Amino acid sequence: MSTKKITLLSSDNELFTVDEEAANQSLTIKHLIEDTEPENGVPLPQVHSKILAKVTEYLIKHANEPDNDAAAKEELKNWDDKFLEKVNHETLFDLILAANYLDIKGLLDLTCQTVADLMNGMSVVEVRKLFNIVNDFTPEDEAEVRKRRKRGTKTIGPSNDQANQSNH
Amino acid sequence: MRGEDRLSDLPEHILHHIFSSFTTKDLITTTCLLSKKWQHFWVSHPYLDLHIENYNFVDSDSDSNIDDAGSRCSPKFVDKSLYGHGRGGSDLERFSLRWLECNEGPRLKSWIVKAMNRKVKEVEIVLGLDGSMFTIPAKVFAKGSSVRAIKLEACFRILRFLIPHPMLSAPNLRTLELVRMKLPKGDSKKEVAMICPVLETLILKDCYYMHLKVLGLSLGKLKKLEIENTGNNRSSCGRDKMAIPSNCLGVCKLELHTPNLTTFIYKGELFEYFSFGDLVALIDVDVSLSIFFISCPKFSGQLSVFNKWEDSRYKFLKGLNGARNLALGTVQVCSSKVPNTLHDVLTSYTNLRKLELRLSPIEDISLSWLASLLYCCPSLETLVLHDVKLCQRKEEFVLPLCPMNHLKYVALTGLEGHDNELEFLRFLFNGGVNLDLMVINGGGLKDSKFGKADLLNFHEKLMVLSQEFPNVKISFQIRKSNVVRFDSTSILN
Repeated sequence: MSTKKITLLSSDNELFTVDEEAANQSLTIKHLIEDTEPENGVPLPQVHSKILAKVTEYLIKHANEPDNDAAAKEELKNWDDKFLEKVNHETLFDLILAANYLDIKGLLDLTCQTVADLMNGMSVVEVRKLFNIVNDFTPEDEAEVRKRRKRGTKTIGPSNDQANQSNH
Repeated sequence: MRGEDRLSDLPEHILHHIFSSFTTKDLITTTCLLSKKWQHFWVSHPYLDLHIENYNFVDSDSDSNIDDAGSRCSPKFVDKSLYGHGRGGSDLERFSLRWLECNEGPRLKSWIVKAMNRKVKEVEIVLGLDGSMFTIPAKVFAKGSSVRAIKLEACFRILRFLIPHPMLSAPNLRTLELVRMKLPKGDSKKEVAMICPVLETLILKDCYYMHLKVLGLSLGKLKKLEIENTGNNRSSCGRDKMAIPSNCLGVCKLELHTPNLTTFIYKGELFEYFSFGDLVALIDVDVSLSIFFISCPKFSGQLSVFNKWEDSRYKFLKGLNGARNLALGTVQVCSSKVPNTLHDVLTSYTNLRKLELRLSPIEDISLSWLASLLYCCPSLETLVLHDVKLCQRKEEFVLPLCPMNHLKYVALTGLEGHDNELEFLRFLFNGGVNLDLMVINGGGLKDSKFGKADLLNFHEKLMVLSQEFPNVKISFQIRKSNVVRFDSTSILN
């Protein structure tokens, strides 16, 4: 088993050291290592040390992920829940962008699902408030969209019926 | 001061990822009124998840509006969604459809074809048929099909939702799940061979095999196989009445040729015959076999039937003996009346590192039975026993010294708090020289004569005992069926 260490360099020049196996979960890092063999750490100019600290924590925990062991999976899931439990929205979105940039599928899935869960069962007004989304509809616009959506989900134009027929 | 709108600023593909678990109706309800930017977001969303409500109901429901229409939709809405709401439609990641009162086969077919025209990768169809027959278009399984994963589930009238023959050799399929489906017709000898070259995951739940003599799975790339024959998969349909024949297995023989299989999960009734070939890559096995005719310990009148079943169970478990991790559920344990096949089986598992037993004892298990079970697995690292029901009878028995050098982790649930259990723990402490952690979950057993006081008393005795073994970390909990719960994770020393 390889225990080679990889050093990562954050945008504010902080160094993080992880096992190669952990680092390789990020396809971006993996390719950077393969292509450039950096000597003074892998530069990650898009990721701040505050976020990279969280990311490396995730990578270390998820290195050698158990494939099928139910108990270990359960433990890992609990860890994931705790990992994001006290994270504020700011950090959560930074983690999403970092996971996307670093191409870490597991972390992207986890953070995206967390955002989805936050919105679960919420009304439009609540979601706007949760994520500071500015309502730029005029009241007339909004009424119009509501009306159109309502009509749209119930009726269908003749053109669509024809499209259907031609496909048979 | 308002904070930043981080959600709206995310790249589009991440937003689609975030909303990939929403039903299409929920997506629209949640997003299209957020702001102007969001108004048409859902039109380009590559995940379609549509639940059709009996559409007479939807059409007459004049009060519904976008805030309270729920997640159900009408067939007309499916038409619109698939045709991209007049915008053609971009490539689809997933097309998921539930239609429990499907009465329009041709329309359903046109949807599947349309989804394929949009290069859909995953298809999930949950169907209840209203009298008619429906066959999945063969095109889904043809060369050049974009579909990589498919799940087909029949809710009732199992025999009316048909799979075409090309599924058996679909060249691109990686994941296949069939729930309550009838497998395609076999050849003249009623034999069916599945030979999908890149299939990695196959799940067959409560499928119908009565018309077959042989189901051969020649799947060189298959990693995970899950078979369930319990008739219990009802939850996702929300219906209790299911027109499933009580036995869907008939005399079908299951033949595996799956050299790369790592995970095998099997629940429920066994096939009449089976052959496993070489399962050289096997790691995880989880088996829960039904006890389908024995309801009480007094089965003496049916001993021959029992022996046949026991024999078949024995062969089945032995066929999987390359596994490293073994979980056994509903293992009928009857320590004195029948020969103990379990010990024999375990002895053959020479790679075994982890053993998990979900026991359902006919009678109380004796200490010596349990101890000798461990004797059969010398390389064990992890032992998990659920609902152990040790007998309380004082046993005049010297426990064999077991070679448990590898044992690191032990978890026991359902302890009642009597002395024999303490004896068993002492046995583990003594043998498990490298034991790190012992997790004990007391209480929660049905019909237990012991109460919380016994468990508290037991805990005290355990603490005294554990002082002799300072390297073992102990976690002790009383399950919540008892009113008071306490945790005392104590790291001694």
